[in-house]
Amino acid sequence: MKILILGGTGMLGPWVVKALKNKHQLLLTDINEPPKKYQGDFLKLSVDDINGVINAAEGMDCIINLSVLRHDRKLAFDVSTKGNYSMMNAAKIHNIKRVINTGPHFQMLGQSYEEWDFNLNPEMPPQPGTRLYAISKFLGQEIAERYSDYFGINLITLLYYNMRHHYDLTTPNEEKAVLHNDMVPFTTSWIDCGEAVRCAVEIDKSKLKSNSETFFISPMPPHNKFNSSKTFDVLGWRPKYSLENLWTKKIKKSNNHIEDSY
Amino acid sequence: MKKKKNILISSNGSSIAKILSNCLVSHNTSFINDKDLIYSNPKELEKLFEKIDVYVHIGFKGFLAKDEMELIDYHTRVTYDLLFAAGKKNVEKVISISTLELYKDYEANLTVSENWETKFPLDKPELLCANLSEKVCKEFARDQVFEVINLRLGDLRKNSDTRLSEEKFKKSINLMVNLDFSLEELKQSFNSARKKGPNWINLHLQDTFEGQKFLTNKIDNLIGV
Repeated sequence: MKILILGGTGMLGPWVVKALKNKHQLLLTDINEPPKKYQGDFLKLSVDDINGVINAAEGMDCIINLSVLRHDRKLAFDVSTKGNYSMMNAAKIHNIKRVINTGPHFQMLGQSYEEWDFNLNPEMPPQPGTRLYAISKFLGQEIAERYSDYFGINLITLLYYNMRHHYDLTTPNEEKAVLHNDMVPFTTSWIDCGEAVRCAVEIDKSKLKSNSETFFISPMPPHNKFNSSKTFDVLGWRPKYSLENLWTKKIKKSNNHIEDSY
Repeated sequence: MKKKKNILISSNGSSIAKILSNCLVSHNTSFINDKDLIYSNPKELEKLFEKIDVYVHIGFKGFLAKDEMELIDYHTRVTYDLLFAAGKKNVEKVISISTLELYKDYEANLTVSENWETKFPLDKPELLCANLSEKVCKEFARDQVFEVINLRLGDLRKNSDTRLSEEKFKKSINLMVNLDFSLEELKQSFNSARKKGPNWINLHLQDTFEGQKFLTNKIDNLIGV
């Protein structure tokens, strides 16, 4: 597939490229240059440049949006809201039938859900609240869903929360995770986050029950705060890492290395 | 005699702003102008809301934009900034002015009321923006920043099956300005402990006549039609 990636040199981008690069033809775009190690095609482009995004999308089979900007009021709306408008117009104009949008879990499940309830799942109506990052992404999602519905564009939305390296549980610009001390209840390894995008790119449309489907990209720890079973059942995503050292009191040791591997 | 309210209206250049001005003559009204919306820091907007009781935000055809991106920017970011500033200055109530055109894609014989999800075409960005504006207002209500009444209006200019007379609009908007959210009709408490209604109320407003397109029982009960 020919895939346009918007916001591809941010936090998630490298893991998405890793998951897709040997199987698909990628055009990476971002306002920041990729590292020198990246060998593929790159175009410097801001996601709110509607004409630029439309031009970049010509001839593509799929668009993936990884763009994000959280803290500045204007830039947050430019990237998260107007960026989605650019993307969906590009999909409409070039008849691109698959768009993969990404965002934080709270664009759907804001404080009015998270602090109150359990078994939160991706079929719930969104309640982002007024937090800047959440509402700017939610409004972008609203645009994407309206376009999906009206123009028949297959929209797959992947929601994330806390991403960590599987080897040491760190993440850039975040405090180090404390082991065996309870967890952010929706924590996923970076490598599995990238793999989820590959699943979304490659899933057969017949497995999706509607034109717009949302998935929580999280392993299934036992707390039952968030329910990501749909991601396992429909998307076919199988995380390699449950990150259980975050939510067990002791390190779980293998009694039988060979048997555990199955 | 009801106390005069200080009411701020989101723009002064549109036809709906002029009608609002006529309808709210019994209150102290003021308008946000284009220069007010040139700001580098959203905190600058807070001065607009000093001593304001009610803010009327026009979410449909209230802002003239040079292109679709500016229109989206106004109905998302600028709307967010204005409402954020209103919250900081403790504005007690926001009236969101929206449109019944958000139901344009339903067949005419359906009994569309406030309980129906909006369904509209995307051939022009105005309706998408009205929808986005509503969504921003709703999240401020959800976070209990202030009470919001979302008024979806029929057609104030043409004689159609959604026509809305200025007289009914005047009666309704004045009632909304003074609406007490602890009214039994709004609480719908049904033996519960609720002290007031939800912070977010949708109301559909058009004239009442045989063949009217949208049901208006909810607002008609409130204004006593």
